[in-house]
Amino acid sequence: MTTNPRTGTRDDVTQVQDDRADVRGDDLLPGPAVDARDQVVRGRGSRIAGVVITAFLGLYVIWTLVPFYIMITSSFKASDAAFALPPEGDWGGAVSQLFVFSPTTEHYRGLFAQGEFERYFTNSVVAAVASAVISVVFGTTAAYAISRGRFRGKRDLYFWIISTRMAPVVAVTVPLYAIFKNFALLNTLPALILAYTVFNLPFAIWILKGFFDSVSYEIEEAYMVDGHSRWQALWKIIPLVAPGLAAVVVLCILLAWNDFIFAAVMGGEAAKTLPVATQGLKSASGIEWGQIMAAGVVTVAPMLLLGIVIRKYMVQGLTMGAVKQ
Amino acid sequence: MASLTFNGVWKRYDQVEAVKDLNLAVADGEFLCLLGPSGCGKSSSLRMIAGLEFISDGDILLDDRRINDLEPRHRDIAMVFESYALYPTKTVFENMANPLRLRKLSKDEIDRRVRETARILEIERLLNRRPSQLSGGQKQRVAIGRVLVREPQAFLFDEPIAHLDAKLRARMRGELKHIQKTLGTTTVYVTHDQLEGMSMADRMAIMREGVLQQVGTPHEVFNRPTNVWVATFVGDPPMNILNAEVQAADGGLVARAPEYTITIPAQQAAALSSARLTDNKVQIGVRPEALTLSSVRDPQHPIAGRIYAVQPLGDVEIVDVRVGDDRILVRTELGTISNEDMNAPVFLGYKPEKLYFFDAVSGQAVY
Amino acid sequence: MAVDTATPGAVLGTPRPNTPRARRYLAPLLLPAVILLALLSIYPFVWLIYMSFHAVGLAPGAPSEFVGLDNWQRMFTDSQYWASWGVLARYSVVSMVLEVGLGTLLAILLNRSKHEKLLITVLLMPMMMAPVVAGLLWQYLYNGTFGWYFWGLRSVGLLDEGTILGSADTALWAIVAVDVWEWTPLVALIVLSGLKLVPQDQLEASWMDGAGPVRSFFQVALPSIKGSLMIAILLRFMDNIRIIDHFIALTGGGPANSTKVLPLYLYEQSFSFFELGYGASIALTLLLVTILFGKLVVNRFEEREPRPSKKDEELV
Repeated sequence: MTTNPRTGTRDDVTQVQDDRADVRGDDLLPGPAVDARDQVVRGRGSRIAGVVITAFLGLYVIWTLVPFYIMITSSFKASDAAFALPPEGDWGGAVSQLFVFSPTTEHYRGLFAQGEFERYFTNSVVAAVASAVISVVFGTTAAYAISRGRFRGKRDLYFWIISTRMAPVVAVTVPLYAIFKNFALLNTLPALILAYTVFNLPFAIWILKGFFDSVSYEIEEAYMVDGHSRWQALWKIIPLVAPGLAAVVVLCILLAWNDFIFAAVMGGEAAKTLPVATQGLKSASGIEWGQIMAAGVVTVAPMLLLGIVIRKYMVQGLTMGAVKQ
Repeated sequence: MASLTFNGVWKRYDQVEAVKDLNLAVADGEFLCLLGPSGCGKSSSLRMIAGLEFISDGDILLDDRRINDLEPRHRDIAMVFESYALYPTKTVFENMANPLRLRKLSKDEIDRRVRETARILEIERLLNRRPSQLSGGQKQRVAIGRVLVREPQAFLFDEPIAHLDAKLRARMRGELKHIQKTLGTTTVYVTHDQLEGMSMADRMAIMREGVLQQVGTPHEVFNRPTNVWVATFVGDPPMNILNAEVQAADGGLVARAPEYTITIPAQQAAALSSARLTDNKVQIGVRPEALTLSSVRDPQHPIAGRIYAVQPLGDVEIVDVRVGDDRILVRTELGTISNEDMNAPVFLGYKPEKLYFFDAVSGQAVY
Repeated sequence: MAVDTATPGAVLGTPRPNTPRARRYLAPLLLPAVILLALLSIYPFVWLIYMSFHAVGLAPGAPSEFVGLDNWQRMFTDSQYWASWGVLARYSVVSMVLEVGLGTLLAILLNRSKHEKLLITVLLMPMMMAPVVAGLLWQYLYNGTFGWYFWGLRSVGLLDEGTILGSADTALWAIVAVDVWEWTPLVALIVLSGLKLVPQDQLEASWMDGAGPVRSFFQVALPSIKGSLMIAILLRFMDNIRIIDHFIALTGGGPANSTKVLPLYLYEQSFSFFELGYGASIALTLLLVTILFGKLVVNRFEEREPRPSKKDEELV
């Protein structure tokens, strides 16, 4: 649904002049023809303001990207010598140190040579995907019911769901650790999957409810009047929330993949995941920064790719649906 | 095609009674308009026919068959929604073909019927588009098309043209009426716009706060409203209402207010004296087009007032006149009065046979 | 809007299923998730309360011993417990002020930039990074032998002696910097979404009234992004209590407990010293604060829900 930001009106309400079959091309392009920025008549000093804005944004981008750059380059730097810092104040030396080096994949090879790192990677994938699937399946049905239903206690149900999502991770870990120990689930992947579901299920319900809310119930009614049963009508509107489903799957995977506490406490060696393994490299004899950075890249890269795929819904997800784009 | 009957139908939500004891029969092939302001229960009534709302009490019959417990898909009734409710992921063709596919029609037959309907609605060139690529008017046509392809027992329309602009609404009123008359399908049409009811319906059923006020042809409702509420709801500009007191004079009755005295015609005087008015209070209704204006006082224009505003509308104009504290709208030929200045004195005349009298307390019309 | 339904229905408000049959069919959709969530949240919550009154046995099958209010008494007299609340408060407030200030500025500039989409993609990147990996990365950057940020601070003369994380004076602020790096973009994006809702006609009206950009920001823009700012602040506070990965990776609470925020203290008590009963008491107090914050957040969310429309009123 498009909304004209200048007038706040909805196009499909105002744009009704042409209703005949012989539509003109411009009929298909709703929305403002005028760039909002052009509305402001630029005053004196706006050129300076423009330079300042660009400079600030540029600096911020550098501040954001430098750690990524250093992480990636360091993961390809070979020896300790390549890691050495120039003398303090030697900016020229710093530049050459940062940009000129002969890359090597030895850290990556080292990681996987131990034979365990693939397993950690697999653990991460299994735990994250399983929890995401469970959360989305149960979350979709519940979100639909909450979106469509009117029942007593709905507000309380809301609150319970969202407060579960916002509970401190460590506070949840304490009782889960005791419970999983009783059920002999410690150090297994199912323990991790269940633990991630504590946060992912309420998250999925919450976000998907927002997606169902934006699908008019009249569409389902239209299907029913057309001759579909209620269940068929529900099934038919699933494609309308498909982007939401995809986004929620990715966000659930992201949350589980990036978790450290649950996996550190309840995963043990058998269900060790990438973040725990990466942190674990530190405590080994001496800190091998090259290898830690390589492990970091392996941990972060898949999430960066997924995040860019659902970029549009990322913010909505990270803000619990408070922000829609 | 079939007739539709409401037998003592109630719709109750948790706290609210949305429809109260509705008794209404829609004849086979009739175009019935359910008219009323928002919240009057007209949409609930329509949705009960479709099976989208549970019927709290009473029965709805399609022909002689009680359909209370049938699911929507088994009722063979088609509906156009206020939001159009087009399927966003389907093309226009698929939107229209959807109900036919469920009826297991052959591919050729579906194709033929969709194209035929699209031709009638002049949307053939849109068949491959998706709803997001359509303008409001086009979406509305597709929604109607999805209903027309089906040849169902009845059509239901829920404010189908409320979101179009005024010009397009005027044209769609004619088109919908033409299509309905051509197909002869029983139709229930919900709207809050009395103009749609007046211009399209065979009969109008006017509802207010869940209660059916009056059923009749547009002509009946306009000329013989059952109460003051219906009288002011139908007609544009609305009927003027004046408060007065009925008094005996010269062997007949007069309605008296500080600014004027109106002699009540003999026939209505008889009705009024047999109706028991509380404290003799009466409301006089007179439509803007039944009033005349003059710049000078004469026997035909006995009521003195002052001009408040004049709205020219091409060949006629609406003159807003103040009589005492009341504002009265008069619809008159352009140029009837020479001095249109604000506060200029003006004199109102009326046609006695065009006066309506209502019980000031109950609001019931007295005929 | 998240989903293009191509109908005005979403605006008119959604009519709901109103037949008893409809209600009956919603229950089987809702219940599995509710039961699963109850098992995963209410059951552990009851356990947590139980544990807080016990000395929890560690060996498999070992019984827990009822100790009454011992854990609670210990907590209220534990000076580190209260000190950790203090560290958490200092950390949260400072990172909040920085993130909101910087994030708002960033949002305003993004809103005027031609490269908004590209910049947002860049800004999202730190948020994809596992917090513990971010912690390790910054530990490397702060490192006294190999760290480029350490080198940079020394080179420009901002750091005279010691290492960044080794000093109680700087360690907490170093972690604040990591939080600012990773999460300021989130604040910026929330505020940006608020800025998009600033009514253009009101802005134009304030220009016609003769207001300059600064004045019209405070007059028109600020009131309409107030809600977004509030959500950003609440979400960040929430996460500061929820996530301690940065602390674990960077300092583990040191030096001299200067970075031992309360959730980290809870982590240490529970899983380094395995004082699970005592941990449960601390966890309950943390949960209590979370629930109070949660109430505020939910109230905020509900303010943003669309008001019931004409259609809904008709149906209610």
